[in-house]
Amino acid sequence: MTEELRDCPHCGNKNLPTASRCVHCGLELEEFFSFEGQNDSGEVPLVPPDEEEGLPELLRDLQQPDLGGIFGEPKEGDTRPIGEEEQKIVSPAVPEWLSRVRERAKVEYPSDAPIRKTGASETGKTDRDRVSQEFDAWIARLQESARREAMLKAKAVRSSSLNEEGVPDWLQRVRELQPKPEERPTEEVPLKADEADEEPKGWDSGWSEEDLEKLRRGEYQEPDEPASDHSEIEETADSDESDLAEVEEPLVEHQIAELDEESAAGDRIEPDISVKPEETAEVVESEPAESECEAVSEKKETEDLQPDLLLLKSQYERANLLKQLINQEGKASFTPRINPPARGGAAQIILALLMLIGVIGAVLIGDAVWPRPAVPALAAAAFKQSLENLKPGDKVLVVLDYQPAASADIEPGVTAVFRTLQEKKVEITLRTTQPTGLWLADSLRSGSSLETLPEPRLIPGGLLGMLKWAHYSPTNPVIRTATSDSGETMLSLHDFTRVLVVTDASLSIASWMEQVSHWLPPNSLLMITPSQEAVTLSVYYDSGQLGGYLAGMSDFASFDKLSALNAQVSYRAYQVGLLIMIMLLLLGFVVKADDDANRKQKLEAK
Amino acid sequence: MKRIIPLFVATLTSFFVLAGLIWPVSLGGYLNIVLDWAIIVGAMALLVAIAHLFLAQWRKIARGNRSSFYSLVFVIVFLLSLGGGLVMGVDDPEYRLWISSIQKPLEVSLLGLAAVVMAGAGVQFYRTRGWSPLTVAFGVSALVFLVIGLGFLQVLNSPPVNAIIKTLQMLPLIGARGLLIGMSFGALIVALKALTGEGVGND
Repeated sequence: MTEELRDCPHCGNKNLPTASRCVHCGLELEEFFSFEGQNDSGEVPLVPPDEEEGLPELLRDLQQPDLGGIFGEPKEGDTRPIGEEEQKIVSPAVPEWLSRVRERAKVEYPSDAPIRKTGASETGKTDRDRVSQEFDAWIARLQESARREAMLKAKAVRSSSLNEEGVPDWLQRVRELQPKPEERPTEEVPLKADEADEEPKGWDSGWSEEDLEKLRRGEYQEPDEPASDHSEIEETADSDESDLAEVEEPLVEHQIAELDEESAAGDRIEPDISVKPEETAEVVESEPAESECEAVSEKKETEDLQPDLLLLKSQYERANLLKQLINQEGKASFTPRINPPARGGAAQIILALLMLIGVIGAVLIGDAVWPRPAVPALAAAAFKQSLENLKPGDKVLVVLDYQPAASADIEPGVTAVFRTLQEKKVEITLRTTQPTGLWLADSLRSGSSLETLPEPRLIPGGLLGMLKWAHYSPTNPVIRTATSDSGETMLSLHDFTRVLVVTDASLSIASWMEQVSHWLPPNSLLMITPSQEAVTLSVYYDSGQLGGYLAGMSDFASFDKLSALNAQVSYRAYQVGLLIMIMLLLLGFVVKADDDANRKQKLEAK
Repeated sequence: MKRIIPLFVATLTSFFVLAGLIWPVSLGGYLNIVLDWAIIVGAMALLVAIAHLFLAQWRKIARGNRSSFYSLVFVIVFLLSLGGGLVMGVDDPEYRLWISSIQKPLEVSLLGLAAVVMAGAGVQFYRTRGWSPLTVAFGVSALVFLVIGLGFLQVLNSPPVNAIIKTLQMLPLIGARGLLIGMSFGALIVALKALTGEGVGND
């Protein structure tokens, strides 16, 4: 390019054509600073139609909107290959320098791939995107600052007296996040006086009226959003309370999205429109929330969703459960019938057959003599010796303190003892501490040919009555005066040579031994019990508090020399019962082992 | 106050009973009076419990539950027993035969049912509890004592076997005495707490 010096209009000296100021006098030379074919004025078309052919194609593309320049939309043909462009656009008036550039490009890039023109149009596209992103970021910053302000005010309100009135947290957060009209950053038009007094219609959740209307009709479809948004928000909600304001609004949107999905699936969850106003008030449990309750009751009539009361599924279930509990109050409740687990039919049949065989065998085989132990137990021997020492005319007190269920285990031994006492011709006094003892004594007398036994009498008060009787002493004038009102010739326990207690309960044994026995002469207390109480009695016998006892059939057999026991008890039936128990225990062993083996085989197969 | 008054009465009574047992000559007559009061109060408590039971069953009948049939049976039998006792008297032989003929087979059947249930539990025991030292020890000990109870080993009349059986039969005594010692300590502590009122009112 040839460089031509230009003259300064002020001083007349020479300057380069690219100089913006005169190097001699400093005068601005902008009007002279121009490239070939450049027009600096932006008001008129940069290139007059008559001069268009003289402009470089690159500058023309930048300046003309219809060709996809900065100020124009990109065209489809902007990225066309240069070869095609040469055929269409390049004219004989193409500048010489451009022709040289193109020829040089052909030499330097000889490949067949067309060289695409990515200059002006893509640069303009990038700039436009950047401007758009900056605008969006600016809007986002504005919204974020507004939310932070709302959050700060929410914290201030949270610590106010509303919490003390019992407003639930979720309701208060919703209220706090609902910006007032004057706090909305996008609100440019000031509210009128009458509008300022009204309550805000809803917080700025980003929902347009059309979308809300679609949501009410169930026609709204959520636009696809990246799932990571919600997850990130939920994580920040747990970690930092300051971010709560940013979380709440998307959460509400998430709730609406859930509701919408469920409604689309045919299982739509709606606010419980059947909730009565008073029940709703119980749920909210606060007087300031009565306006919301009234709103719910009004919406109930129209059966419309109220966006402020959209609930999560868990919240809805809890509210429904509370409603059911309230409705069921005072009503009879039926326990649901629980179906028992399926059992093996074969095992049940085997079990029943074993039981049946045992019972039938015991009945058919009949009575068997209960074997006498080779060596009687020491306590049983002491018991027998104690009765042997009785003389005719001695007073013996027999106290019946057992239940009818234990009669089969006890009465054989009691019968044998009564026969022994009758042989000794002692004076028997029969008492009972339980009402059932009255008719048990009757059956004992009638079933064992003991008609000569005296009538039983009830000692009222149970253990307390026995304690009173034990404390009674005819030799004490104070006590005799105090008990003379009964008019009964009452003997003290000291007047009896032996006290024989027939009982079937450990508690009764302990009470007798610990409350009564120390009022009696040593070794005068004897007991008859079932075999399972032998362990308890042995302690008192070894300590010398008990004169002797008979516990169970073995002791009865060692005591019974008249074979009265064999008339009432079948030893073989007892043996059959024990055998059945042994077989069932072994069956349990085998079944468990078989289950384990099967399970192990399945595991190995897998 | 609702707890303190009964506690005060119970503590005072217990101390008086102890004093009467220690000095029977001077306090024995008054001790009998206190015991009579206790018997009367206990009888009244029993009557209240019976009335409560009757009313509970009556309410079930009024509600018409599925189990009201059993409640109806209970009420009818209760009224018949009460009426029979009031009219005939508890000393009447016919009344005693009536009651004993019902109650004795019922209670014996319940005991037999408990035996059947325990037999079934013996089968299911290891399936539900699994193998563990405790369950195995329980099963083995049950088997050993059941076999001893059969009496077949005693027929052998072998001195070593008899010695082993005698030793084995001492094991339940040892365990039972340990249990009784623990129960005695517990009863002693509870009695002291009842006397002094310790621990009452803390909750």
